Amino acid sequence: MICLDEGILREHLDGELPREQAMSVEHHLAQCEECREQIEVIKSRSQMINALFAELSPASSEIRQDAFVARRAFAQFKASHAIFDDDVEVAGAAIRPIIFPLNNEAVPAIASLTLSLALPEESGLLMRLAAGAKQFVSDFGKRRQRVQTAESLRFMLPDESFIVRLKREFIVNAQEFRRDPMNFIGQLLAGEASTPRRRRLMQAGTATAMIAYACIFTTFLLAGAFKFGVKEKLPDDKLTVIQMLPTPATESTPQNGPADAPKGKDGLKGGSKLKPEKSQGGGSGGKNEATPATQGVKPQYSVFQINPPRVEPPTNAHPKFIFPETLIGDPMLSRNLPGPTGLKDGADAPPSNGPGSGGGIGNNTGTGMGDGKGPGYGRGEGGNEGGGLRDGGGGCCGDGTGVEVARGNIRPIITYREKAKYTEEARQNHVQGSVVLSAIFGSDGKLYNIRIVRGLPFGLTEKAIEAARNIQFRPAVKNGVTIPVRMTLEFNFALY
Amino acid sequence: MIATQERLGERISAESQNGSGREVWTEAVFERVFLQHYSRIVAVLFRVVGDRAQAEELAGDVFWKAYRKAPHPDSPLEQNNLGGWLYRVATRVGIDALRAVARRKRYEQEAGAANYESVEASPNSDPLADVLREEKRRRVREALAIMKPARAQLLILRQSGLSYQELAQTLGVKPGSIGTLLARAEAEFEKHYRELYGHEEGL
Repeated sequence: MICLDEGILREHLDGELPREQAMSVEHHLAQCEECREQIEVIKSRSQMINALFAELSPASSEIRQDAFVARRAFAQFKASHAIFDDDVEVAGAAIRPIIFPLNNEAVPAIASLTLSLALPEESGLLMRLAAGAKQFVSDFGKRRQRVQTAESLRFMLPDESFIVRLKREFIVNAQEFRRDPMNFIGQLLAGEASTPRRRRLMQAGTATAMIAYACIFTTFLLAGAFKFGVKEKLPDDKLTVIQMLPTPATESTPQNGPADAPKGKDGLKGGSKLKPEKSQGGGSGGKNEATPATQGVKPQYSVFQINPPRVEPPTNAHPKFIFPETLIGDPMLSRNLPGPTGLKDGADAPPSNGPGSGGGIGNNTGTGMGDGKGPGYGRGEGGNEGGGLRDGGGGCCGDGTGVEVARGNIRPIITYREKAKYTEEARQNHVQGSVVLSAIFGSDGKLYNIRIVRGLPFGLTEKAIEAARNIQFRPAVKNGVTIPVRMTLEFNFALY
Repeated sequence: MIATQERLGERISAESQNGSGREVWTEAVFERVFLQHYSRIVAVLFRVVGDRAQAEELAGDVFWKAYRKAPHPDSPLEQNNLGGWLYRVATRVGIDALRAVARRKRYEQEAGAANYESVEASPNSDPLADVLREEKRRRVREALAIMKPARAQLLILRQSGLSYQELAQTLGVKPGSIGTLLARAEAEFEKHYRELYGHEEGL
């Protein structure tokens, strides 16, 4: 018995075999185990492939099949391959754009019939005149139509711009000039001195022009010689001194505090300067009391001090003006701490302003708090906190530990945030991605110290920074106090 | 300009001498052919390449080839075989594009470049189902791309719904050999598919 080959079996499966052959195949299959297995293999394989290929057929959303799509595609096809062009078809019917015979080309018959001006130049003046007259006679009485025809043919005239015409004429004249310079100039001047009267007028004109030029030149010379136009100085005696302004004191350069004074980190913990500076400033105090200064919190900082800090309550129980206790220093250092006024490391003792003098709290002189001198807080002199002399106004707190990184609940709440705008260049270059910035969200609701963590080209980073500057937020709060924190901002740029 | 005119004149004269030499397409006839076959050609190409924009572009190429080379539908020799001709060219063009893509991807993978498949999400459909379907399609195409082009072509044409008779006519083979060719093509496809993905699927 001869087994069937796979082609026959395949055809049999698809029902493509003629009837008699199909019957004989069936007959064979009934007997032959091997061929039955074979056809099973082919069948399951075919089914699997059918299932897989069924996945390939497009879903209705993926492909549009209608006459409109095909028609549009045909139009595009025609345009992109420049076939069946309308122009070409018209050209077959012998109507073609006509270019006027400026360059002695043969004139198309249609144009010469309608415009006598369009005759070739070789035909000579007489011929042209004759043709024009003939045209005029033949067109007499049907003027409107002729005009209409001329109008309709006007689009055929070469559309020459002023610049192009100027260029063309210049080239023509330059050629003339190069060929015969003397004659060219002669021709130019020929019309100017043809009669004695014209010659006289020309001479008079030239003379007038020369005199006018001479006058102008002389004026300039004279002006130069007498320094005309330079303002005279006002005599000194007309000036009166109204007030002598005090010369502003130059800002003293900050000095370092004692070596053991704690140093601030990362600037912004309360300081108002953008860049971290060394901790400066100091406090003072005392009211000549025997007991050491009491423990407590420091009052707010201010640029002036009316009511120095003190431990005991004010003697005037009902003041008309209430001045809060202040230390002199940068208001940014204020922290609104709750509790009675006193030194941070003061004694746990009955209320005392300390053994110092001057009205403050502490061991030394001045109206401040602490061991130093002056109206600040701490061990140094002057305003602000810390160990050294107060520096011009910025500085940083002596016990600064740097800016915290936002985490958990301690993070600013962004109330308004802009979308960063695209730049035109970036759009054209299809730049997408994100810009990551890191910034300090100050306790005053402003953004400081913006750093670029990840940038993008074509000005997108700048746009992101611009958008970041417009952010509004509520500062982070820790233990009831607003604090500055560092946080990252991400700006996404996506084209779609 | 002059050259164009001359060529144009040639064509018009060729058209007027009806019957001698190759026929020239007129717009009306070509447009009829185009509109008649365009949608199905795009659909076939979409099956092969899986990208509508690419399918449409390739369809344009197919018709351009038809414009230049195909037998004129009215010419007596190739009666009514223009459709078959278009399908043959379209599948071949599609398979070539598929193989080019597969080749490029291989290089990219060897070079360590990222290989993301873009799935176009269609409205009101399940994104997960889309992704899965796209993955299945990708596998089929991958297997097609490494098959012998002629066999891949046969499979695609058969799966596009052509009968044995039409297949034989389109591919220019004897109708009796289609069964054998088809069986071999299917066997080869299964072999490649199993080599690629057999370990993942029960099949």
